[in-house]
Amino acid sequence: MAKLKKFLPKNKRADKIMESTIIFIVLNLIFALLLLFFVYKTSTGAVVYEQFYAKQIALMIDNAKPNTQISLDFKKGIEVAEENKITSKEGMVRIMDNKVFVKLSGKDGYSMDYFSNYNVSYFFMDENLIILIKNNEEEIQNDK
Amino acid sequence: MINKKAMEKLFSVWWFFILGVFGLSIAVGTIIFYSADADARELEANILADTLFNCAVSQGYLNEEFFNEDFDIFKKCGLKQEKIIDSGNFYFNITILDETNHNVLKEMHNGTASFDADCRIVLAGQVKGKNYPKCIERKEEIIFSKNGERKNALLYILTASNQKGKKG
Repeated sequence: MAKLKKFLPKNKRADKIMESTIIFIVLNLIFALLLLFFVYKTSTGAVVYEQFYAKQIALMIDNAKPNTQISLDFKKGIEVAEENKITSKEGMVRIMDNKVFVKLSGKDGYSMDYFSNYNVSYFFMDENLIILIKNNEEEIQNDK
Repeated sequence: MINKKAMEKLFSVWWFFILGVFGLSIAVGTIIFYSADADARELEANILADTLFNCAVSQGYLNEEFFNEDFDIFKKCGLKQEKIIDSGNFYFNITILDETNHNVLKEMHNGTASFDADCRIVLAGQVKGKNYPKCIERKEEIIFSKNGERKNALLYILTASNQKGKKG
């Protein structure tokens, strides 16, 4: 050890520079990590997923044929809602009056209209949202 | 004479200023990017065009009821009339032209009428405004029978959507 100290002589000035450089780098790293964390939190926030699910469900309904059953993986939506202290799955998605409404946080939620005249019913099965699409019986009976 | 300590202080103040500006720009950029609407209008217009085409044409033949005066396109195509007309977000135009492509045999249009002109401007590539609707244009050669006679025709479908979705 003594021999090693001979090879690495004590240089107070160099130590000080080294110390301040390390602090500088650590502080910059902390700053960069904070920024990354902020970007991650924003990109996986409720606002993004509410819009994503509302549009996806509305487009799926419009694109479906009558008597179709759609199973949509809603795992990420449930995770986001639980992070925002929403535990009731029934409140997360509402489909009524040709409107899909998704709410994964305590805020307003997001809604999207669909133009198909179907009778749409839906329920959660574990982490999947099951959407049943049928012809609008009322109109068929009116036609008869 | 340069005062090294003062320089170091100045440097650190500048450095924090730079970090602040950098962080703020990233934060503002991220918020703007993720709060922007995901644009599904083109997909929606495409789905509407598919729906109209599939109910108007079957295996290349035009639906015989199409020329009837009382042909209700909303009922036949499974479309919600209130949404197409009242929402102000949709438009469609179905035109059947004879084989010379000059004479209109039948035309039906519904929804926000101003989208028709908007779409013609957009499809001609004259403007790329983000508030203009997204439009889909289809042209298909079809066959139809009238008075027991088979005829060729051109089916033209124009659909538009300007639905952006909304919060709340």
